[in-house]
Amino acid sequence: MKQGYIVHKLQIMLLLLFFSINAFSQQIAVTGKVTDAKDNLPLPGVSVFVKGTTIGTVTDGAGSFTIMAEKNATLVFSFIGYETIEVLIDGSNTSLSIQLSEATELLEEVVVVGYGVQRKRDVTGAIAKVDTKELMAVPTPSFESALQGQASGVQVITGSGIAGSGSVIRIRGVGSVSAGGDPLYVVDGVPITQDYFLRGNSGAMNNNPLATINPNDIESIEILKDAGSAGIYGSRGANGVILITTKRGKSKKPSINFSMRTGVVRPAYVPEFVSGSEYLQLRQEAWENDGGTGAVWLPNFTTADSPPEERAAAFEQAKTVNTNWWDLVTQTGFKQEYNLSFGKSGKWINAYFGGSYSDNQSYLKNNKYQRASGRLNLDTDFSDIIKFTLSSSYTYGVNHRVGAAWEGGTGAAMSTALPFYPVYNDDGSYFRYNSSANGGNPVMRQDLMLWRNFENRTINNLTVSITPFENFSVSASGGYDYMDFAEHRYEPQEYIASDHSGVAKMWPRYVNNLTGNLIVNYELNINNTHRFTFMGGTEIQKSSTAARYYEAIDVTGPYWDDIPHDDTNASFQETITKDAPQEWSFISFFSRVHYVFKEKYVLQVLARSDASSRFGPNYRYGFFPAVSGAWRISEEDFLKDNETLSTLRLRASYGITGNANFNSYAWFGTYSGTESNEYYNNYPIIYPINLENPNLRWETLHNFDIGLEFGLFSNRITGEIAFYNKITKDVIINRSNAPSSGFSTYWDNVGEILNRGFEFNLKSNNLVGDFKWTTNLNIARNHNEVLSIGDLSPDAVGGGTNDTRIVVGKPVGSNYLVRFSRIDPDDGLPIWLDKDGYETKTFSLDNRVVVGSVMPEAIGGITNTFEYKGFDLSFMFVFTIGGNLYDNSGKRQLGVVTDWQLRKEIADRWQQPGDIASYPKLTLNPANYPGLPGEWQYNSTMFLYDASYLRLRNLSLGYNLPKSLAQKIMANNARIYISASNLLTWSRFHGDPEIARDFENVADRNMSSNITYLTPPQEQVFTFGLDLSF
Amino acid sequence: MRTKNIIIATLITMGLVFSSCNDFLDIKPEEVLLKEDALNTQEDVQMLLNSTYTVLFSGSFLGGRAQIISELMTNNILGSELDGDWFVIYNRSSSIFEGIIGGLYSEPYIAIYRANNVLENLDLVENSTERDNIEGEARFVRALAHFETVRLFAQPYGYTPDNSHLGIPIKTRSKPEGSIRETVGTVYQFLIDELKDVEVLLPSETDPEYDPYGAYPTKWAAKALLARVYFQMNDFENAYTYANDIIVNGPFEFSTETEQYEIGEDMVTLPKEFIDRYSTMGSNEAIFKSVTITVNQAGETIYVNRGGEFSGIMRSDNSVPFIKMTQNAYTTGTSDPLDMRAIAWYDKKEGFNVSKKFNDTDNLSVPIFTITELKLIRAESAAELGTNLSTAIQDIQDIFDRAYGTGNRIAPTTANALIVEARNQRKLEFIFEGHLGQDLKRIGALGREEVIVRGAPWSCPGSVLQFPQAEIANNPGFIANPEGGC
Repeated sequence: MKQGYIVHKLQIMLLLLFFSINAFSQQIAVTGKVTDAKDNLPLPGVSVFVKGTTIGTVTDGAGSFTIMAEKNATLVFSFIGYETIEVLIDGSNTSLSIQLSEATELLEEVVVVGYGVQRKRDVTGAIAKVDTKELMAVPTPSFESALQGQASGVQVITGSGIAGSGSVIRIRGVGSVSAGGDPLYVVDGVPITQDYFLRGNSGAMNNNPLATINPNDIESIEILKDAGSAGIYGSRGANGVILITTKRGKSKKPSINFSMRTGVVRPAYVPEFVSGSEYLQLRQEAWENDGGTGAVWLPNFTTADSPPEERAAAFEQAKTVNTNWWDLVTQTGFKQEYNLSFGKSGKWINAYFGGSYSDNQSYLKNNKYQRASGRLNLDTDFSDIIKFTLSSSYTYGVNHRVGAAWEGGTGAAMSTALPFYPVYNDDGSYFRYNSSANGGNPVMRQDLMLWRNFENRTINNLTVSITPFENFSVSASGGYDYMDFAEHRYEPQEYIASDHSGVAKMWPRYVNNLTGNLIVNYELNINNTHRFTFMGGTEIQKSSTAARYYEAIDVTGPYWDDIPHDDTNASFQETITKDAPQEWSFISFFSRVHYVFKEKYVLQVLARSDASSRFGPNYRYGFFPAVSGAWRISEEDFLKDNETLSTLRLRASYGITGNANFNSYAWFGTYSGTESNEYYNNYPIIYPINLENPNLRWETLHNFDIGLEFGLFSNRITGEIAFYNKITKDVIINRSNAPSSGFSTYWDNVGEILNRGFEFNLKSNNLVGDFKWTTNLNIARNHNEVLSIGDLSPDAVGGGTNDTRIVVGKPVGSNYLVRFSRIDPDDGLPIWLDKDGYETKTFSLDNRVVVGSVMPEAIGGITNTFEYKGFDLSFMFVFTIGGNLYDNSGKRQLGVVTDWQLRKEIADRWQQPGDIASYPKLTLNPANYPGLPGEWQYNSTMFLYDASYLRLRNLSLGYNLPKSLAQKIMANNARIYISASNLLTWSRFHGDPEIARDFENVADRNMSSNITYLTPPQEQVFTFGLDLSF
Repeated sequence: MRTKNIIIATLITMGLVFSSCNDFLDIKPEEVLLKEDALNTQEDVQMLLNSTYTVLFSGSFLGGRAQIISELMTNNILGSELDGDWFVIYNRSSSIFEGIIGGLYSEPYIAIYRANNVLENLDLVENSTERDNIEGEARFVRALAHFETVRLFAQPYGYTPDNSHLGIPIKTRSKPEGSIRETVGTVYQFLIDELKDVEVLLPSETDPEYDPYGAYPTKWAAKALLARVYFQMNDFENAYTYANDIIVNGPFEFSTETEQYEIGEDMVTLPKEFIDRYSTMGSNEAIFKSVTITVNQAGETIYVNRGGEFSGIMRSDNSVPFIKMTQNAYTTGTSDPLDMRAIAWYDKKEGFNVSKKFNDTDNLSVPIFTITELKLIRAESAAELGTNLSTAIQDIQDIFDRAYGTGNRIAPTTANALIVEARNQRKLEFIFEGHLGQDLKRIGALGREEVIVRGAPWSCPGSVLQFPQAEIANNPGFIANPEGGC
């Protein structure tokens, strides 16, 4: 090239000499047509410009262009997603035929790695990337749910069917008990607020801090899984890091995208309970089994002591009522979502605007989540030396809440709302069956109570980057995540049976999360043989949460309507309680050196030092180093020309990361403040609250990872196999203390947990050509084991509320239950197994043993996509192998007959000697099952199930309109599609096997996945969608 | 020189940066006191001591739960109307999970922890008399908490001849450390030793300027507790001595005053004590009770319910209470037409037998020791010993006179009859107050007669509460109680 250039230069000078009359150099009109190399179809919108100048144009609808170029200039043809082509204009051809081929994705891709980007082939850590196309394939209201089955080793359990509920995500297993096990979420460089317990477990639902992030704004998600990648986040990287990068203006031609989705939603499962008459019959049977005579007494109508005539009358009356409570509180819901975005890269500034509105009803009546959001991303481009980058979003979300799970609604339909209770009394008032003021009736609650969550969220990041000289840049960045969240309730007079008009309550929370960092980057390239990237930086972060409680009595409306009330009313009263603010801070220093030798061997060393207000004074600063490397084996001479193996890359990493996701004030020893209002006998009191632990610190993860990436047949088949070993030490356990110590709980670094496993993913372009078939498969197997809990016993670890325990040698969250053996055919009583495995007819909680685990053995997903002439069809299956589900409500729905509904399976109960049955002889009195202290202690393997399941998560059929048709509506691209999610499920469980119930606290969230307690099933959604790009 | 200046400047800057770093990381929880700021003056110690009473009298302990659970061990409460944990306790089948029992077990040890904390900081009190008083109070609270707990979670004194059966952990240090169950013999010895010291440390009366409502314990409270402890041990000699000491030498009077009360449509004359024993201002003859009245932070006089559990599940004027009386107890209490206690305390509500003892106020003062109880202890102890029978007869006569009207019933004169009558009157006076449950165990342990409660012997395993899961799990080697069997 060099030589040719000199020659041409001489030629030009000669020409100039010859044609010196011509003041201007020769301009040639070049025309041509640009087509897609794949299908020869014309490509409109391709940018054609003269290199080194501002002369440019764009191909028209037919792919044609005309441009004036100087002779011997170079024309550059570029189009998003295609390889850029440059053509020299030497005058020999002025009519060009250009074919652009799609950019080969794999090795030229750029991966976001945390405080920087790296080329995919230079990455030494275990990073899974999910791009926007894969993300948008599954319609979900909250984006993280769409990650399910997309990345190996990333377990995603979607929260229940309640609108706005969040998922539980675990990357390579659970390594924590009382500290948070969720990964760190970083949006455009800002570690965002991710508090699931902002309102605790109010209304049987945890907060979803990701609900306000609009999936349409997301460009890509990178999941950092090992120390080589997540290590740069130091004391917060142990559970993995999920980096979310939003879209930016990239194309020179303005790109406008509009998408619309509408759908209907039903529950994926409808639980089956007995009808009114069946319930009465079963209850009568239990009564007679117990020796009762006459009609059985009915809760809320008669009692055991009622005279026989009364009982009989109530029984007869009850036979005439058969209320289907489930039907009354569920519906077929409608969903709709609209997105409009605009992106353009301009001369001075690149901009991306996006706006979105969605209204997602769930299958619960009156329940929906509405969200309106906007985003503005700007990058300045006017100078090579200084650049500004702004990422800013605002979301307003309203969640119309209803009772669910143990709080009411569908939960009541599955428990205390019995079929012989009428909805209304004869006089038209609502029937109340619960001694609490609000009577229990789920229809009454649905009709009368007003309940909404409101959220305003804005996430912003502004970066200034200065490049004083080539390859060296300094950037300063400030991030601000502000959340203003409030739960509102209004309980009118009729609902709470009060003598005043009603009570309005409001729980506002305000979270201010500020991040600032300063980063220095330097790239050094020596002869293309040694390529160094140095990065060093410092970051500070502070978050502060304020919480209040407002309550107004004798008002006729909720706080969001400004609590209408009569000012002259003497019984109006308002109380405002202010909670103490919760604050925490981090100061960090970090550095990363990345070295590539001969474009084949990569070595990376990183280190981070974190200090946090959360750490006790004896452990203020933590140090987290990691070393990792990669070897592009396929670049070696012995493999370079191999026809089969087109890519082979080995990577490995070892490092130490930490988890700092625990209670901000846990280490302080505190006493009640003197502002505490308590007085005894005219004098104030003070008392100790929290036991001090000055040694409380982060959990330390020792993390080893090794992976082999391969590509066969010119990367027609690509994949990766990886192995990892993670040992978490100093696991924080909020241990329950012996009550005799005077303190109920104490935070301490006590335990050790192992996670070890394999991951395998494969992407295969099985068929290419007119009919395409691609398969994407990922599967991961994780072995989770508690190695030590210090000197604590399993029952001493506080937090799990669902009969799961932390037991050494078993996974986190082991089901700890009495083993059920069989039903005695002679007398119908249950036979259990004692601790040693011998049959016994006496139930005892002392016979509980570890019988199962909430952790799966393997998880994964398979997606098959077919494309033909604009049509695309894709099936996405997700699966879980191993692990157990425990139905915590089963003990009441299939146990002693009480004031709870009974499941249909109870039909298989023992009725007479000789019966071989699954459930024992019915009784109203727990004492009739020898040893059972009460109906709530019926904790046994009767309600333990295999958690394996296979689910058709998403099925979609789409059609890309041909460009000619699309252009009729001025669109570049138009796609219509229909899809169904959670269409089919195969499992051994009678209900929905995908369970992430409401959790009490952080430890519960770690230990109690796969435990259901009246948890509403997942949604089954049928969607019709339209995507247009202009 | 210049280099030196630069170095100094850099060091100073770094120092400033680091100190501001430390400030940035120094985020303390608000609205609470940090440990180092909490206990520094005598006033702090007194406030901490004051906090032990709010725990002692919390609804989960002596504000009702301890008493009601003792009552559940009798045939006074209607079991078929109970559910949840309360039913399990009534059923004598408690296990490690009952939340009600968990709360009951935690409270006394919180009070004990705070008392130990006070005792470890006595050096902050300069005046030796004041120090003695504070020490005495703390040790009294500690002893009372241990006593009421051992009676619920262990078999009674006398269950084994040498009292080597297991009791509860004894905590005398605030340091968090493991606990093992001491034997009942050890526990009772600890109580006696402690209370004998407390007797001397506490004054015979508190300063009315400092304690206008007489809320804080005096030496008489220590003696009263000793009387009760000895009586529970069936040590009649000591029980008599202490009960007698208080009645004769103490500033308390057996309350016989009467007043007119509106019962239904009529005005009835009743002894004031029957109505006042559980009321806002409390019993007129209490040696130690909780107080509801206090000023608050704003200086206003307010009332706080110190009998929360009684109000919660036994109060019968606003609605049908959760705890109802058996027909048997109702009949026994109301069969004597002259018994004014029947009018004061028994009622029928929507067909159920209920007690009126805890009505008419939202804030209950709970009496811990009353002259009535001491008189009955004195009488029964004297009769058991066969000495001072005339005192015993007079005690019974006083009780009769108050309950049935002066002279309407005559006290028996023989020792055996006096014992029977003392027990009977104790049952009638303290219905629904938790005395009978422990008394039945005491009588059973005495060994002279068979005591069967609702078909099971007084000593069946389930009549003793099971320790909560957290206690067993956190103390390797902790031996739980046998369950059930009743």
